[in-house]
Amino acid sequence: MHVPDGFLDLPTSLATAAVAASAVALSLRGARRELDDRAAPLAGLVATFVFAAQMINFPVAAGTSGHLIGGALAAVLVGPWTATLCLTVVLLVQGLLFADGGLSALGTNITLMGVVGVWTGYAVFRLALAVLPRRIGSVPLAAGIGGFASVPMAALTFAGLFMVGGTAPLDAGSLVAAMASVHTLIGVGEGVLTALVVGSVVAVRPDLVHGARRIRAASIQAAAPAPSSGHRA
Amino acid sequence: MSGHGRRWWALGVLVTLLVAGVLSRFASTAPDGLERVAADQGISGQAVERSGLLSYDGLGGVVGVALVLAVGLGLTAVLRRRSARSPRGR
Repeated sequence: MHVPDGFLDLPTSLATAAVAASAVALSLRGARRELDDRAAPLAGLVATFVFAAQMINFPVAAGTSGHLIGGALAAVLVGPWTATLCLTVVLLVQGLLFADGGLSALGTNITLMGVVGVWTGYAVFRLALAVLPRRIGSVPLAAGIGGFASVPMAALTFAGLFMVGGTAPLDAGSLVAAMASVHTLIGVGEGVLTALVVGSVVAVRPDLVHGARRIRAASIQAAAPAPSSGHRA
Repeated sequence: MSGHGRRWWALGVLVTLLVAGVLSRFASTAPDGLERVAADQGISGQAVERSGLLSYDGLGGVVGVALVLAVGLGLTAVLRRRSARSPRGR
């Protein structure tokens, strides 16, 4: 999904850079509320895991591969504001040191993966969680559904950007269809990996999972009506 | 962090290093979704290729992991210090 230099024209790249800069500024404020004693140690680890996981391309169709984006995964584990920062750090290191994604496209890549990937993934996760049974086992499943949806959403956003400011004339319908179909397949991998990783963390330390807090709070309240001092890591 | 918290965290770092340093050997080298679409649509030539300081091999992966971890922990510490000072931060 990493957009190279040369795909989008300068005005479009500047516009996505402005979106990315605004999102990072808002996230620096929002993340302060998410980064409590429990979440803080996990945030750096989540960014690092997303970086490592993005190295692992898996085959999806004849001669095509995909890799985890990790936006929904990070949002469920540490909260969406912190997730945008995690993806931004990953994309900065990839762009500056690994030449993975263009430099003029840095804002585009942060917008696609760190904003659209994170927030659509998180929104679909929350919707799925609201529909699924209220128990802890629903959290990994909802996270997987969010992860699945986030990939075609980011891919369609790229298609939209290319129609506005692409450096070559393309048929919109054909580009949208191609981006959506390939990235729906990659989304299946994203969903499975997201569910597996969130499931592993939920199994070991459910108290650390940002997206599990409401369900845990409800079940703790149901088990013990008296307010407890809470479980601390 | 408690002892249990530290063990858990260290396990997470170990898993991440294994993914970056070892599992990366088995990563598919086929073009990714965007590269495939760009090739099919005939716009691959628009991409400006650069060469990076590091590459996604085992060593580059471990260096990248260390860098992201350092930046991530540093940023977290700065944000936590700022929110400790400002009453509306939490």
